[in-house]
Amino acid sequence: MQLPQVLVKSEDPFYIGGHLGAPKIPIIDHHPTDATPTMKILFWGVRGSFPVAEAHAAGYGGNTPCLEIDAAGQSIVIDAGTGIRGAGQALVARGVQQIDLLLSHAHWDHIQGFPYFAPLDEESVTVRVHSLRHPTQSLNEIFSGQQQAPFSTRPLEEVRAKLEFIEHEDGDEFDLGETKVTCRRLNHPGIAAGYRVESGGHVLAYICDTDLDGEVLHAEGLDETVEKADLLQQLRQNARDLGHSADLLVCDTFFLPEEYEPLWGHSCPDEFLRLAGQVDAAGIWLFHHRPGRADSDMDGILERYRSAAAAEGVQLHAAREGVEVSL
Amino acid sequence: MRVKLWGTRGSVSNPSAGTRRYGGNTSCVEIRGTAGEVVILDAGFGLHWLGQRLMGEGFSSGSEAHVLLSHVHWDHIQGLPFFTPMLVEGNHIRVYGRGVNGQGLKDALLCQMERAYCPVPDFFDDSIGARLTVHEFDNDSFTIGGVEIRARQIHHGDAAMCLGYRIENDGGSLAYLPDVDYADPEHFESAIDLAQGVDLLIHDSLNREGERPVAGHATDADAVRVGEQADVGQVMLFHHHPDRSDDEIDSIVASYAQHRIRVSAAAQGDEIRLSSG
Repeated sequence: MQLPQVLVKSEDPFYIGGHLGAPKIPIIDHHPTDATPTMKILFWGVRGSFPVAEAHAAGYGGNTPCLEIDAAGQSIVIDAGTGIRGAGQALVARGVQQIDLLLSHAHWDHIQGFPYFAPLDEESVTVRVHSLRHPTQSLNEIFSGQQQAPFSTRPLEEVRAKLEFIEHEDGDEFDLGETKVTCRRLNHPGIAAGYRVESGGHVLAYICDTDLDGEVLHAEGLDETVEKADLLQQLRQNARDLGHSADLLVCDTFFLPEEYEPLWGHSCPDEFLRLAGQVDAAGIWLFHHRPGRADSDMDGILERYRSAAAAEGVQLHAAREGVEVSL
Repeated sequence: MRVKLWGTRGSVSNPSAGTRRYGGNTSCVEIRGTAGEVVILDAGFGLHWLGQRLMGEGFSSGSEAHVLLSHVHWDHIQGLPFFTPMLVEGNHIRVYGRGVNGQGLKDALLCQMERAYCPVPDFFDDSIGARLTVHEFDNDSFTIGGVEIRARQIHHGDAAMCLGYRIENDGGSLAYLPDVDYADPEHFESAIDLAQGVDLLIHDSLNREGERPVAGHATDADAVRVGEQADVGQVMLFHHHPDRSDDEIDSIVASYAQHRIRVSAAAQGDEIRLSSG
């Protein structure tokens, strides 16, 4: 375990924050094209479990999950980990008035940035939060709960933006402008969903958090009359449907095979490479990196899976904070 | 005693290139008494990395850690579910603090473990490994081995209850006031009383004069004023605003270069030794 140390200021371009101003984020275009991109995806948070402000994680980034998508002018944000602070500052700086937040699930690392999402302070802005329906708690209750006393001083009622909560069922498809979004249930403790975002012929699949091929059924509140094995098959099929022909598949690769814990609800790169091969996805992006994973470990993982990815005909990337992908 | 800073940031972690020197983990300060006592101030995300260090030092069956919580805002408790020594059988983790609004401390901590939000094992469950006990108190004094602790309620906004701590061991002393505001002169007096004559005052500095203030917090000027009046050896600015960059903190510290009291800023990873010598 690398120990924290007094960090030296580096020339690392992944500078997020600045003082209360617009964040400085470099644009790294992995798919340069002459045409105007129909979809741009920016990684604001890539870390799983909890935010990691430690030297070992400085390169790939320590913020918990958040992606910002610009789909032909439609602003979509996926998950509200601490990365959403930077996304929010950028959205406000650009004067974006309508934001759709797609929530995978309500575990802390996916919602803890929400109270600090700058567009919520803007009266003119509308923020719509989409999530899979929770059987016992409304989405409003889940978000109010995070911001209640004695744990928080920012009650949800004080949000100035127009805030709407929209609860979906497994398999729902809905349109956000010209963009089509599909929401499907995944195998992860509690109530978790993945999303497929389609715009201008391009597809982003966000399949996180989930244990893709595990034998343990983690998802809760399912039909108890159906056999567990059948439910697992159904959840696996959901992941396949979400990822089908995706240009970019964002994966839960918290584990390596030698670290795998069947009770946690996370996957390894192996399963996602297989999935990408099966469903003809162009590329996978390792995501939800575990807190102790050092930058050098991430580089090593890319090296380790290089030939397996080539064999599946899949491009392999590791999500890194500050990277923007244009499709 | 030895003091090590594992988390210095307020409100929410901010891992970024602009916050690397002063650190982006939420509040956690480790104190080691001269007899090896492990006393921890607050359980922000810095606690996880302190836990990893303890495990590396053989913090195993039979070890004891004392976690003193100032209050239960998320940024002061969110590291608890990720404190690995909690999983080791035979360890004893004692958590100290106070409940609020009629809710006991244990119940408050259990809210964080609610299944909809938190998938990790419930650390109050006996089968988790370590024994966990919760000690509630108010304005009180007690000792942990040779470490003397005095807690006193300090003002942190209208709704929030916060404890400040004064800690003394082997002739060294520090005061910890991580979240405090001085809306009323009375609040000032309790802070000065707690910090009177300490070697090191670790003090909230989330706000800054000229900025829109965040309710319940102090400015660097407040911290220095308390330090002056309590005649402390050094004021250490702490609980930095999540967006406060390293360069800004440098300039805040530099603005006190000629001040009669030494002013520094808490930097994650730094270690300080306090002793009568």
